[in-house]
Amino acid sequence: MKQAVATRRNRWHTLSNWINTRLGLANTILRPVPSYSLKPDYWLGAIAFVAFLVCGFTGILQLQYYVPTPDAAYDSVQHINEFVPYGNLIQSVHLYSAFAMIFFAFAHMMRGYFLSVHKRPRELMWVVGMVMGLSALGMGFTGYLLPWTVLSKSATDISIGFVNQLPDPLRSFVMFGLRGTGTDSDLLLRFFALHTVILPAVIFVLFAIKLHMFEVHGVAKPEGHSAPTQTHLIPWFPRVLGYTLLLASVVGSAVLTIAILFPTQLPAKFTYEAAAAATPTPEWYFLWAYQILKFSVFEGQLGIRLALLLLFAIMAAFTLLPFIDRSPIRDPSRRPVFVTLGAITVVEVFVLVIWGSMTPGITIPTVEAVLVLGSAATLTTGIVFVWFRHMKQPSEMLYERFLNRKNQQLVSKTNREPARRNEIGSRT
Amino acid sequence: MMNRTSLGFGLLLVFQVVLVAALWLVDPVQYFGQRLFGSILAVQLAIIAIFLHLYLSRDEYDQEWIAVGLAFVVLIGLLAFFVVGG
Repeated sequence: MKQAVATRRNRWHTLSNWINTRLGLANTILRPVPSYSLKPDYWLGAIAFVAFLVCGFTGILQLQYYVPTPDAAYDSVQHINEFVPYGNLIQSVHLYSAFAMIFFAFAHMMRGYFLSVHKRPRELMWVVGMVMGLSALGMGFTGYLLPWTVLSKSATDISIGFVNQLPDPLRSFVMFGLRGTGTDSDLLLRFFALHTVILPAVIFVLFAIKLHMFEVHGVAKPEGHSAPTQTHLIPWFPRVLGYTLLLASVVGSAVLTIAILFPTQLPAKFTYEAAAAATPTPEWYFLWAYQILKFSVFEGQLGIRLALLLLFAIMAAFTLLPFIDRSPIRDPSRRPVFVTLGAITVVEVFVLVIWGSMTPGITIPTVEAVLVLGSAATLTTGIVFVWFRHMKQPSEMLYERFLNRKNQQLVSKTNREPARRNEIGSRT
Repeated sequence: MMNRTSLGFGLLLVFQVVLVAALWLVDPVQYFGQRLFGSILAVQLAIIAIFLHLYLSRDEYDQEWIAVGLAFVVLIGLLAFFVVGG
């Protein structure tokens, strides 16, 4: 029996060695990882990419039935929803995976910002990651139009209307890229091509480049910890594989639960009459930009140009962050200015998203905008100031508290054990 | 003698095997509505996550997370029964 098991193990080792000698996986993507990286926040980017793969799989299933023409698009989506086996579930999972991808990509970016993973030598990893994130937003923008509903088509028309205010030749270039000759068929076909081929291809290529850079630079070591040695490395199989499967299972389960509880419901088909009565709103991940564009200060051609310039400046600032924040300090407790700016960004995004969902189609007076955003920024700055003032090195203190709690549990368990043994001994 | 924890997780494993059999051996298109199918898949993934967590932290069980996982399984089960309905 033992000999049979040993023979099977030998065969398995021979096979794995054969594969590893050819592909070298054990020295690259399947190499051991430092123990400190087995925490969920280190895998936010991986979760976002898994969500992207789920989107790809469910998208390919829908491609078997979808027809990318203005006359047939809506009916084909409705057909998937009502008549294709499991069509509604697949469509719902596609939608919520896309939401999960964007949410986790944002969380991944903000974590990287606060922990300064963008600093030397990972500057280009940050830039590539930002372009991947913008491509993911592009996928959301182009995918929204494909069902050709009154909400999605009207929202796209409004967005294109904003782009139409750009100065030439930028306007002509972007408009031709998005709309072609200007007909509805051209618009839908271009969005379909962007959503199903061009942007996924861009994301895959950028993922390969980022993975290569990750293999070169490794996991960003948390500030304050000692460099990982051989004893702190964890083998990829089975522990790292098990951990990534655990995270993927949790996220997959959560996405499926949301998909069954809130299945997609198709709004009315787009017609110009229906569009006149509808108030188009973008998906939640564009609500922050939508709300900014509704501020009365950005009315008129000049106002729209300024708003677009502001949005472009925000994106550019985040993309080029490694070249703006050049200090070598990575510890968040020693970077009060950038931590405060990051906290304000997160709070303002949440405020704008919630506010945008509560006031669809309503122009916001400038005074109100200044009051709401200013109050949120002031309050956040105050909280961060108090945090810095009264809690030196907050992240480390929290971690230490957690370790102390665990140690106390272990100590009390160890103390209880001899007492229990004595008790058992005295009984016998 | 099997202790209660092992018995509990043994039962969870049996439950999972039954779910797997229902999903992959019985034709799901014939027998389930798609939302019920989705909820069973969600329960499946949650149970897989619990087992992976048990395996990864086998030296010292992190009981809070196991309790959260079990509560999640029960929650989806209840939602599937009362809200989705199959």
